[in-house]
Amino acid sequence: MKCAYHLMLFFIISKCSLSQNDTLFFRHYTTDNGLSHHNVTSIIQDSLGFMWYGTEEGLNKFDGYSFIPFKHDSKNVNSLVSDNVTCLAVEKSGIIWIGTQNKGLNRYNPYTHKFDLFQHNKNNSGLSCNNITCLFVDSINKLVWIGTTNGLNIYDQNKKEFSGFKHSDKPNSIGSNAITCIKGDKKGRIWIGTLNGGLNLVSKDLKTFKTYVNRLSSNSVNDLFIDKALNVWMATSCGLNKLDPETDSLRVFHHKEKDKYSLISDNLTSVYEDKFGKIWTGTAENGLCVYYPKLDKFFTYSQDRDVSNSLNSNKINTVSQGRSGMFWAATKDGGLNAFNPKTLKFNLMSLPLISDEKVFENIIGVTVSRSTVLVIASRHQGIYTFNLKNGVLKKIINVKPGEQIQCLAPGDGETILFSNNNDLFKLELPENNSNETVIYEKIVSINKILPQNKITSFIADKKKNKIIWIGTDKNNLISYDLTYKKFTIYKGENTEAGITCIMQRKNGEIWTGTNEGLSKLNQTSGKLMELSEDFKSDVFKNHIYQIIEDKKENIWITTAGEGIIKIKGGNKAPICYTIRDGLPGNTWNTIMEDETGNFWVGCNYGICRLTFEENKLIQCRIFDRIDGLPTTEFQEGCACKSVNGRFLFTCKKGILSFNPDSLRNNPFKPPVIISDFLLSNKKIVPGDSSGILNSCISTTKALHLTHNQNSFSFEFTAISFINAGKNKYAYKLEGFEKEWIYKNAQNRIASYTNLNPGTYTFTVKASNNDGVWNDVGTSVQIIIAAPFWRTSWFYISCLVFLLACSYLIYYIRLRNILAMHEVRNKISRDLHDQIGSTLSSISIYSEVAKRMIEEKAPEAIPIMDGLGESARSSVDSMSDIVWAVNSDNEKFLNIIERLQIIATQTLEAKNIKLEFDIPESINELKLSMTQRKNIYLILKEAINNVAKYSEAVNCSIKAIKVDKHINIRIHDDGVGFKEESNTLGGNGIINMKHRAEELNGTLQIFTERFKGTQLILDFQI
Amino acid sequence: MKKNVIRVSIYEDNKALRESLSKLVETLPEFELCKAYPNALNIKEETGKLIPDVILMDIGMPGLSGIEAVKIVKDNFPDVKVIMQTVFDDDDKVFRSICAGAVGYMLKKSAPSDLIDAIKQAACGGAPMTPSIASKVLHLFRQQHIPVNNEVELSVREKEILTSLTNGFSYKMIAEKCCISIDTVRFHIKNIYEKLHVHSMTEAVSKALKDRLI
Repeated sequence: MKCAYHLMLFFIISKCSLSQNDTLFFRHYTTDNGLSHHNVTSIIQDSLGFMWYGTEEGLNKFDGYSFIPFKHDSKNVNSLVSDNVTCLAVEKSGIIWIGTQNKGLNRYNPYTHKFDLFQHNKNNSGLSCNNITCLFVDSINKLVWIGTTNGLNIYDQNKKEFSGFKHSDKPNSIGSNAITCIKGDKKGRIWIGTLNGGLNLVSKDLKTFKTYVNRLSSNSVNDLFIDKALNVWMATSCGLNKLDPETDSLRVFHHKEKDKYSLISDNLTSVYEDKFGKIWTGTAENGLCVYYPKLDKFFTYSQDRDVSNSLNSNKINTVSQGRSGMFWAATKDGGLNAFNPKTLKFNLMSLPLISDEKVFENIIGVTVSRSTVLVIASRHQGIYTFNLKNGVLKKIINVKPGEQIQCLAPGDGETILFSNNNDLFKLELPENNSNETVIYEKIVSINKILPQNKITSFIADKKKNKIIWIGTDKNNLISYDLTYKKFTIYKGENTEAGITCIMQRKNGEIWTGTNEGLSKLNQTSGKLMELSEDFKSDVFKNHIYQIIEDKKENIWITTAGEGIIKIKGGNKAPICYTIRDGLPGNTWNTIMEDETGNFWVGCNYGICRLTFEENKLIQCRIFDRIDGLPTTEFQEGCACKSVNGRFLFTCKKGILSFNPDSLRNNPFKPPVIISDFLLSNKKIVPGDSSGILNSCISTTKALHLTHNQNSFSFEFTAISFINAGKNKYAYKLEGFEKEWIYKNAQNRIASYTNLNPGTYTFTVKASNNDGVWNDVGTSVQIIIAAPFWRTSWFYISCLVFLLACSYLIYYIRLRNILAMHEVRNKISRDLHDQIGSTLSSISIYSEVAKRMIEEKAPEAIPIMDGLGESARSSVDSMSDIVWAVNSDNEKFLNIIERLQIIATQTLEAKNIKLEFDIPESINELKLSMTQRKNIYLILKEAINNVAKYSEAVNCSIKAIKVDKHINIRIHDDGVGFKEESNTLGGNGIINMKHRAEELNGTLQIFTERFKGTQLILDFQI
Repeated sequence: MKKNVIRVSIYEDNKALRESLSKLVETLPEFELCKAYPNALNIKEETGKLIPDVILMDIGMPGLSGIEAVKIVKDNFPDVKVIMQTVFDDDDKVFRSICAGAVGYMLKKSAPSDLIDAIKQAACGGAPMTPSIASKVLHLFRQQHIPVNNEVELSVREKEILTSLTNGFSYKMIAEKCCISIDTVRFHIKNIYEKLHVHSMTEAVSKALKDRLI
């Protein structure tokens, strides 16, 4: 096995600079990731946040997840003119300028997706040359500066024309025609680097140039950059130059062989100042070199084939930094290298091997002694010390063959306790790290206290000096007093289980964990009480790895299978945190609490930081390779707290040291944009056949869709390149969904099908890799027009139509009923007419006959009269029926009118006065056919009776209404009659009573001889 | 003023009734039968040829209705008195026929003696009316919206008589009540009829009629 001896230095993290070491974690983007070519020449970031890269074979747009290529399409005049892109520049409006190797200049409009072309033509009115080397957008003056191999050009955006500068022998002309770089500073000065013409400064009137030649380390400036202090940094092939234009002082940096903090090489291709003020230079053959102005030192990052996340190429073309802080290095043959300068720094101390021993295969305990020495116990190897300052590893105790070290724990003061299966030892490191031999002594042997027991765990009692608590594999807890060499045995209930860990709380309580449960020591009863019964919970019946108490006196337990258990205050109901709460697993080993109350656990995904609020797990942040961890296998190690608040975790590859307080969340709140709109899975672009989009979907505020365009999806992306794969997204379609839907970065699409017409708002927001959400998000309004059959107009007109229909039906029915009535009336009238006429003729004939025979056969006169009478009374009856049938006669009033005629004929002849007393309300009452017939006939019969038999003088008919009853009284002041003699009037009274019953009423007759007669007809209406 | 012989024409579509009426008229010495017709289609010529004093007119006849026939008669032969005959006493047609110019009406079921009296009355210029008809006339006057000149308004007495008729008084009782003779009552009723005829010729009234009777 190769012995890789890396001695790592580390600096204490301070506020203004990063700790430097060679293990900067670079993420590589090559053709494997979709980049179109490994030779990347230029980098810009547009106004929305996307990154654009120019390569030798095409332009690429990067959204954090994938590269979208733009290539030359010979069939499309509006495509990129050449795939060989040399430089890029972006305007605030989002328009991108692309310089190509030899085909001129393109201007890309991201909203129309079209490339405009500007080329050199022989008329000299355009570009001076088609070999574009550099671009710079001066947004204040609305000029685009274009450097070519043959002259400097300016494109005036207002006038839309080119002007140019060429080198000439005249003074104040530009130093050379071969332009390499153009930059503008905050003061509006435009600096131009050239080949062989040095540095040039354009005058304010854009007519003359001030040239800096012969002072610089080389007259060929490859790249320049203006720093925050307005110094001009120039990368040349012969060193780095820094010019202060105010003082006109120049400083040159060269590579110095003996100075390892100097430039690694003089052959520089690019220079850039990052957000923290460090100056990055890209070298042609040696990678990246970064200058720390405050330290006045250069540090180099170069390719290391053994380190997988180092630079993958030493040939740097250019460097740039995105707005979120992501740092990009474009190389000649390695594509893009990106690193996050805020990448959390983990120092892995790979400890050197001593001979062939595999120190870290089975570490069973670590602790820090005398603040500088790490004591490591390896089960089969022995005990080592590792000097944290100088990195020296020393073995201090050897393990005899067949034996093993069982556990290690700190004792009183600077003593350290360790044991094998049977014997407990104590050791103490010499002061001052002297090279004295380490002394250790045996304290006690277990087989003398508890035969057949093995030591599995122990701790030193913090409250009482010199007391050690020892746990055995048969669930016995021994309290051993070092001073008096006395012991007390406390037995656990379950002798099958072995004690895996012992913890002493602040209040002195002793808790033990076994591989089958959790117990607490009750010293008064002398027993280890199983807490499963106390808490009435089975969660403890698992292998307990570790128990700790946090600053708030809560107990935290790591288990195999039940996740992490919290017992609030040590006595409340246990709360389990498992996969369901967001943890990546249910088996946990070591757990430690940091100063801010977070908990750190090692797992096989890396180091986990758990943040709880009240009883809820609000963040489980896993630090892995991308965060800079060189390895992720921490599930079987040990951990302890070191000096200065650092944590140490062991793993097979070494000991990881980090400061938990420095690992803060990425605060960058990523903006999110909607990148695509798909209708029924077909992408919609502005200007296509659907006509939905006028400009690109990212800037569209509202979408108008028809009712059958109601299945669509949105694709979105957050512009946060730092570990974009861990970004989370949430979206909601207001009007359709009530809750936010959460998705991770692999699934950046929201689909909706068959939406009802209406107005919706789609909002999406994103969080960065550390779960920091940008709650602002972005929204687009969607208006789905209702098809005409769902608009309110349609509903109203349907309703109106229905009403009209129902009215029409009603009207027709009514008409039919009326028609039927008409027909009925007509039939009865025709019948009446015919029969009536014929009966009348009988009456007349009988009269004629009477007159003819009145002298000859006077006895026949009454017969003739009778004949005529019969005929006439038939007509009468028929007339009554026809009258009753006629619906025109439905009012009570009509009955009275008809009765009056009868009364006039019958009563008047007998000189009986008739009076009617009917109130208007009754007169207007409407009656059914049966009612009218019956009432009329009853009253008619009554009147006839009065006329025939009463011999009265006055007769009155009165009607009153009482509730729902009508009461009609017929009174005469005649002679009355005996009621018993029902035969009086023949069937008349019986008929009347029958008719009253048919009316649902009653007919009462009150009569007394000589006191008149009263008939009362009462019926319900 | 009794004429010596009253000449009567009969228009009736029911054969039995027509023949019995004819027989009745013939039997009575006061009357002379002109002719009996089953329909009024040629009433103009027939009346012109025979010039009766009184025409007994059935209301419901095929072809030309009794009401239209009355109009023709009144237009051409104003002195001829027309008595309407009907089985129904609640027929609006009766009222319209009076407005058209009939002087009275008889129910077919009336006793023949009453019929004979009615003819005699009509011939003398009377106007036999029954209460239901009277009430209808009253309603007409009440309901008119158009101001009419005094000529055609009913006088107080006439209104009184009409009202009494509506309330069921017979001519005899009205005469007693108003302290006038029965003949005076009849005279008033005739005037009421006259006024109706004037009404019926006015456009406004025919409109009101139409509104009411249709």
